[in-house]
Amino acid sequence: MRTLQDAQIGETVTVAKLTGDGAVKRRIMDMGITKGVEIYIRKVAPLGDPVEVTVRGYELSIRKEDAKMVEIN
Amino acid sequence: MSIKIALAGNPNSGKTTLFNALTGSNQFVGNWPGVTVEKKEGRYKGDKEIEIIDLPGIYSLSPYTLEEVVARNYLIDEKPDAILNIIDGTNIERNLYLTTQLIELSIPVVLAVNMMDILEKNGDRIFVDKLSEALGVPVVEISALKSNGIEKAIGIAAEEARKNMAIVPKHSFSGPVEHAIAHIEELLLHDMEERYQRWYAIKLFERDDKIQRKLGVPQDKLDHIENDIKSCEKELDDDAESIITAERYDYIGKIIGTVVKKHKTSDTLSDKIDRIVTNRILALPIFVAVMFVVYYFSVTTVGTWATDWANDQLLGDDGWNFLGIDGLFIPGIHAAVGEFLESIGCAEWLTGLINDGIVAGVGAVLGFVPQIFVLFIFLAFLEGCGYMARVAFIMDRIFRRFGLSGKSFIPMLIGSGCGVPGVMATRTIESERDRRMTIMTTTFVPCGAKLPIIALIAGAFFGEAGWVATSSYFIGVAAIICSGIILKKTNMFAGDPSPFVMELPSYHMPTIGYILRSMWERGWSFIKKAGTIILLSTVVLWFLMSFGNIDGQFRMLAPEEIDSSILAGFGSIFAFIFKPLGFGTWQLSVAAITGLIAKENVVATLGMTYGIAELADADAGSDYWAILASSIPAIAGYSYLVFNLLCAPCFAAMGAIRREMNNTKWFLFAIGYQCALAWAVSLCIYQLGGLFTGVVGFNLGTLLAIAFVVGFVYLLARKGKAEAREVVMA
Amino acid sequence: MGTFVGLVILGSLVTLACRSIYNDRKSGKTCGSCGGNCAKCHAAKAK
Repeated sequence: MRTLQDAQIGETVTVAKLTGDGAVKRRIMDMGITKGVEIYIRKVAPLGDPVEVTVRGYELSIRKEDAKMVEIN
Repeated sequence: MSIKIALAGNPNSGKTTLFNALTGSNQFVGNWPGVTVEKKEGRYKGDKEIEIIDLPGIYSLSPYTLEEVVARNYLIDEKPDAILNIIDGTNIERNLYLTTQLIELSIPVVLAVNMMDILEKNGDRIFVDKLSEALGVPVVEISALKSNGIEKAIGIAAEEARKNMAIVPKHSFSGPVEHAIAHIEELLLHDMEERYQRWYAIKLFERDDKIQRKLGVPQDKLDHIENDIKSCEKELDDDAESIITAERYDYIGKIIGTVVKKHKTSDTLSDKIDRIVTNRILALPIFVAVMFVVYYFSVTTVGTWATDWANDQLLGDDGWNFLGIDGLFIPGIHAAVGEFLESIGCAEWLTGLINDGIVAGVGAVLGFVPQIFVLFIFLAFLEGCGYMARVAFIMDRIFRRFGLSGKSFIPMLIGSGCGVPGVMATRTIESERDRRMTIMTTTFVPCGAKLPIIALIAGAFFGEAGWVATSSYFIGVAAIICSGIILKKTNMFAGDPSPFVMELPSYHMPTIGYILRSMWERGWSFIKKAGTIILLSTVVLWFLMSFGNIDGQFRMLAPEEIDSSILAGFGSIFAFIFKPLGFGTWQLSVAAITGLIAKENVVATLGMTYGIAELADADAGSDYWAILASSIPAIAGYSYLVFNLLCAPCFAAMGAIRREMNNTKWFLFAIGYQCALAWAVSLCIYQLGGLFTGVVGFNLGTLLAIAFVVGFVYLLARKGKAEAREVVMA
Repeated sequence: MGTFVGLVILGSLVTLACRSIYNDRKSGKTCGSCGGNCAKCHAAKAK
């Protein structure tokens, strides 16, 4: 299953499901990453991590490690 | 009759700007999440009967972060009469997510859609009447920055507050969820006032442990509803929390089509700037350049120039020409005061106290005001424009190497101005452990008050060489990084790396007003400190220095007899601890201790104790520098500098640490750690550096230093507890 | 005479300093070096 971590810069993906649990997952969801939403991968930080994505009209930065929790189509 | 209105909204939504505009108090805005964490209270300018509470910026009412818990506890316990929910119009979906939760609380909600001016510029439109209809609450358009529409907003909020109608949310969840919620209400909440039942039921559905505890639900009842929740989860193939969250956003997604019309956007200006500033290749060099500009201007050029003028001419003995005009000579304050007191026949001892104690001591500190102000202007700009969030974004990778997150970098940056706001900036860090660790190490970065110490050591021992200041910052940063690495490997701090999910708000140009106000507030407190705490310290010190026991007789001393003073006696006790560090004189020991009151005191005290005769200017070969330089070797001078940089900060900063730690044991641990580290590092610098430069012979101290270095390297390099665990599992 | 003036100056400086610190303590504003941005300073201003 592809996750947000595998997405490439410039890609637009749709969220299929969120795995994991706890505060980080809740935070990711609170920020708008829920089932069915579109995410555009805008860029990666200079040192390779974290990534900046556009979701629901704003910019969010999220670590690749945490991005693993987001399964995409 | 007085009514209470709570301001709630996302971070960066302009809530604080609105609060300022409504209450008129002279506060200001930081542009990254977490600046307002505790509630702020005020009264509406236009009607003193309206009390306004500014809640922390939050994205949700989840139980996971301190801000959210603080906000929601206020809302459910204090039950304000109305909520003014401020929405960032350019970011509406995520902002409405919180709105749906606020409405469920059944407190009257009024929506204030902010940033309408930016929306218009982008060509977007929000149909507020449709929004109002969809959510069932009044909606007002505002621009907090321009103070447009805010009277209307607060007016409607007050009206709704007085009506005090129980709000029924227009949005609902899917069938199975509503079914479970109804069941929970029936089973557990029927004793509660009906209008409030829904929010609690939803929380219980989400298995919110804090609400479970708050309501004191017995375990058997919890187990009962657990069945309902589980069957719902099975039906919808997801866990309860995710279901609720997703359904909220689904509802918002549904209405957003009719409510918002977006113009086809190409990249905004903010995006364009970011393409360069956070560019893979350019970001770090740009950051280094920014830092260089900030410090070059504040410390090295404008700063030092202004400080020299202030120290020698304005406050010292040289005097200056007003506006450079030859006829308008203004004598230096020190010289002027001295002349005045002498001319009125004031007793010599009193003249000494006033002029060489207070004027010189306070003057030494005030001389740095120009530098401080310049530094604060830069920091205010960086904070206000939104660059700080980018810095955290860029630095995250590095900080993750030792288990922290990029958010730990921001306190360091702010701490270079003053440690107090630096420590407070740690609130953005969610992980408790990482927060504590960052709090402990933030004060290692040289703050504004430590600049005089750096200048003193550089001037007295190293001919004002530039590397002294640069190395000070490096050592500070290195201390933070190494502490981070070492501590993360201990049991106390080990754990999963801090999460990093952070919004990158759009850049915006902070207003001149904001920058000046920020600079002034922080700078003014620096000046005030000089006129109060430091002034009193110099008076007390003067007395302790001027009285003592000589030949069994307790009396006032002549300047040469200073070594027999009370202060010297006191200092000698501590000097014992500092001997292996190379600065075991009572003067230096006492100065370091007075540094605990305010770091500026170190210079003021040394000025008094080493050169009570001649301590007017902190520059250009004044006598006391020479005396200081001849009392200990240069390497000891440097070790003294490092000691003061790393050891416990001033009382104000310690107070901030204590508040943020919220726990005396942790606070004491933090202070203890800082002092111990300072002592160990200073020891190594003096013993090993001294050995290397031939100033210090091989002794017990050397062995101790070597032991420290070995231990240090070991602590850095060893496998942490978490890593060890992973290795085992593999 | 000169000494008396000197003492007056000293006394006023010290009193002013003490009063200032005392007032700050009372209104809860501990240091202001936060830049007026922390809750304490806000609470003090709002009073």
